[in-house]
Amino acid sequence: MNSNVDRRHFLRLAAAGSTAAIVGACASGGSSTSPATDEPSSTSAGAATDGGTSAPTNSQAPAASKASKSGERRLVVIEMSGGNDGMSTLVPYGMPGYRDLRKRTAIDTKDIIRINDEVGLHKNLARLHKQGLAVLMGVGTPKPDGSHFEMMDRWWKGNPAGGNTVTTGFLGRLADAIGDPGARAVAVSIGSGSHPSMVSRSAPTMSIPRADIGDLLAAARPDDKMLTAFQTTLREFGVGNDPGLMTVARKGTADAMRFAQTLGGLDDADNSKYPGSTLGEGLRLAARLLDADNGVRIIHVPFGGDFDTHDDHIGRHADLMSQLDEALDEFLKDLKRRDLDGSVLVATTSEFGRTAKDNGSAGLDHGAASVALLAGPVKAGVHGEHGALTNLDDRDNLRATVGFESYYATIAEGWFGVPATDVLPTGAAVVGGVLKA
Amino acid sequence: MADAQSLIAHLLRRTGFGPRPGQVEALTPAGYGAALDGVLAAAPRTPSKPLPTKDDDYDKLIDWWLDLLNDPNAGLHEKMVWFWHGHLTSSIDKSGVALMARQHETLRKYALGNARQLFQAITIDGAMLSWLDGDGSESEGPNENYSRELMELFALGVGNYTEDDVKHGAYALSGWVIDDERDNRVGFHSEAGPQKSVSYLGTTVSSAREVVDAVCSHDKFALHLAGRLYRFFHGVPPTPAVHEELAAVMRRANLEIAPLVEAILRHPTFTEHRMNRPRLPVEWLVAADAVLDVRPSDNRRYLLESMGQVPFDPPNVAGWPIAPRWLSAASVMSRTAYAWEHSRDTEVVSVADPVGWVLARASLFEVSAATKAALDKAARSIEGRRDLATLLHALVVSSPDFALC
Repeated sequence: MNSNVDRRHFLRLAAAGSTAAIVGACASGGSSTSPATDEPSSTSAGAATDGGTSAPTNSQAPAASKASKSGERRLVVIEMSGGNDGMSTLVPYGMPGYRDLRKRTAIDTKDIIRINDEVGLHKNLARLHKQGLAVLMGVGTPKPDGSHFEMMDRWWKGNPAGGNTVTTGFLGRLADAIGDPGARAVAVSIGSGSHPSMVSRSAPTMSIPRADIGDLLAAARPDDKMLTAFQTTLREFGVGNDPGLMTVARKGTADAMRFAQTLGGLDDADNSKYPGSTLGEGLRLAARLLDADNGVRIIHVPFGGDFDTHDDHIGRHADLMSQLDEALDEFLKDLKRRDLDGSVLVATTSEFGRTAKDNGSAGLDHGAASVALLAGPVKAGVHGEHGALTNLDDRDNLRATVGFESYYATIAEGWFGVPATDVLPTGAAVVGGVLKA
Repeated sequence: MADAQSLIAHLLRRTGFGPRPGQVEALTPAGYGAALDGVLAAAPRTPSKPLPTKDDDYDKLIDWWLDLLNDPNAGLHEKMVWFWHGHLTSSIDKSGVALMARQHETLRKYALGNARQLFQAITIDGAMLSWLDGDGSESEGPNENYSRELMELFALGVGNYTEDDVKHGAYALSGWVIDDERDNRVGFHSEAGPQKSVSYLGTTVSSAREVVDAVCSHDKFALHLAGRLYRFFHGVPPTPAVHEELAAVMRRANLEIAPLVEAILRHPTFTEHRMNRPRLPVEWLVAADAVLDVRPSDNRRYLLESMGQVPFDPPNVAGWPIAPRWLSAASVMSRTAYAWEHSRDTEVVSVADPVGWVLARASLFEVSAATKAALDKAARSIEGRRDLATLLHALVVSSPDFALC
């Protein structure tokens, strides 16, 4: 790198750049889907602030059990790309067949936090267990596909059957339903470019490529004339009357500078102890954004780890569980300090689980059903039904006992009071008893 | 009409990955026509280093290509390799380093060659067989993925084939495998391949070769490619009349690619279609590094991931759209941060017109009035020459004008 990277007080900015840059690594797709060449609707900030005519339906949302500043409920989605093994997250140690299937990847009973006689949490989730973690078992889809790309696409779009008919994302549609169209952003993804799950019809959604961008573009530093001139000029770049695409380029600049103000105005959360991982940095920013009470209701945080454990599963997965435990535990504590713990639901997604049976590399290939984790105002413990290990599907994978659209419905309808049919092409039934009343 | 300097800057932006400082000025005395002739006549770059092919060379392969793009002589041929990679997509994520490296060699070979030969080669290319599931597809229950995308995205466009064509094409394309016991060579298993002729696009086919021949002989093939290439170089789609005219050029040339590209670049509309296309992140980064005089680091994959575009790793089978998304707030945030961190601490040569001098380094000879006014104001607010140079470099590559090409 250029030697003058550190020439001014942006050591932290430069240092964080490389970690913040890793997010969204797995957001690639190929396979049989044929996406439109141009995106259906922009996911840039302010995409619809000019013409956002669709009325928000947040009046339907039930009152939060513990009111935050505005009393509005919010959602943080952690995406565990690569395919998280449900059977190592919530271990079916007491179910018939477990040790026959997992010859080299079974988890020792001593490394399990017993929930009941059949299942227990991975020991590396101890902190989250203490916080109160809800685990929905058997989440998947009746006809799963083996491709990361295809299954991510289905999850992102909330479209269990797949195909090209759905062009918006589940979180984007949720933002349409609950958001204030005048907000700078209703839904934010911590990552590069535009995340397919965030594509909305009208609500402004936004990607933030690096958590520290507010320091550069918005922080007031009157003593630093160069930085001040840089910021001032960039703001001026956002204004002008030009033909064609230059107008779009100016608007992107104006949007960036406006949203940077939001980011720059956040507290610096110095009392927090987040790990320096992509997830830790993402959740740290999420807490600050939610606390600012500025209209951001949904935050998508890529995990930044590789759950695609085709080999050496035990060690790799255990490390991922530790990362999740450490980062999410701190996030939940941070929310409590900010008096937001009653109004933020945390939910995880992953495109699929892994094969029930391990392979010759002490690893697990692409599977089907997995578990979903929820934290915040949830009823701790296990929910739903774990698929039988002795009745696998035709690819020897765990069968789904609940469609992921029902998981989404639980979030939409159960948490936000948005009818599932408004945000899911197929509609879906809510899974009862997962959220606190 | 813009001056020769502006037109040559436009030409080099569209047909290469710069321009690098000084390139436009060097070509200006001979005029635009000579510059265009030079672009068309330039020899392809021969890579000096071998392609990385090991499994864990993921980052090295990406850096290897970026190094070629940074070469001052990377021109039309390199831009065409870049075009084909975004059109006939495959991804390192699914296909792996070795197969992607081999595919890259194929794209280099045919980038300005014959489209029929290119499509024949890519259809049984290992990375493509892996990416679109031709690998192991058997005639009893063939995989339709490549068959569909070949017609829908690569060669003909929606509406120019039927669902039966997809099914029959998949049947005739079956039997190909990647042999992982023989260095991932592509092989054909006749017992798994087509056992009879099937009707396809108005003819009959019984092999992958015949499928590709039928596709390339289809009336819409030249039209499809002419439209995609026109959009790539001009930033906008052609009018129906121009579209047909260019397709005819390609048909007359027996599906040679170079004559089509020459016709697209020599078309009178080309010089009018300036600054109407976003610079994609890779194009932006290579151009910005040239202006900032940054020696590129290793592991640029992570940087480019934060910008949303990694070579060899397209987001999906449709590649990277030439779309306004590259001008979004998130893109601006990544670019401004990069520009600030890498702007040069050097003296501005011309004290009389520092803004003009940096704009010229960026080949922005027809900068917008609003951008120019903002830069002039910034220049007045800073006194030290080194600071001024650093600031102006960061601002010029962060400008909305530099985000376009």
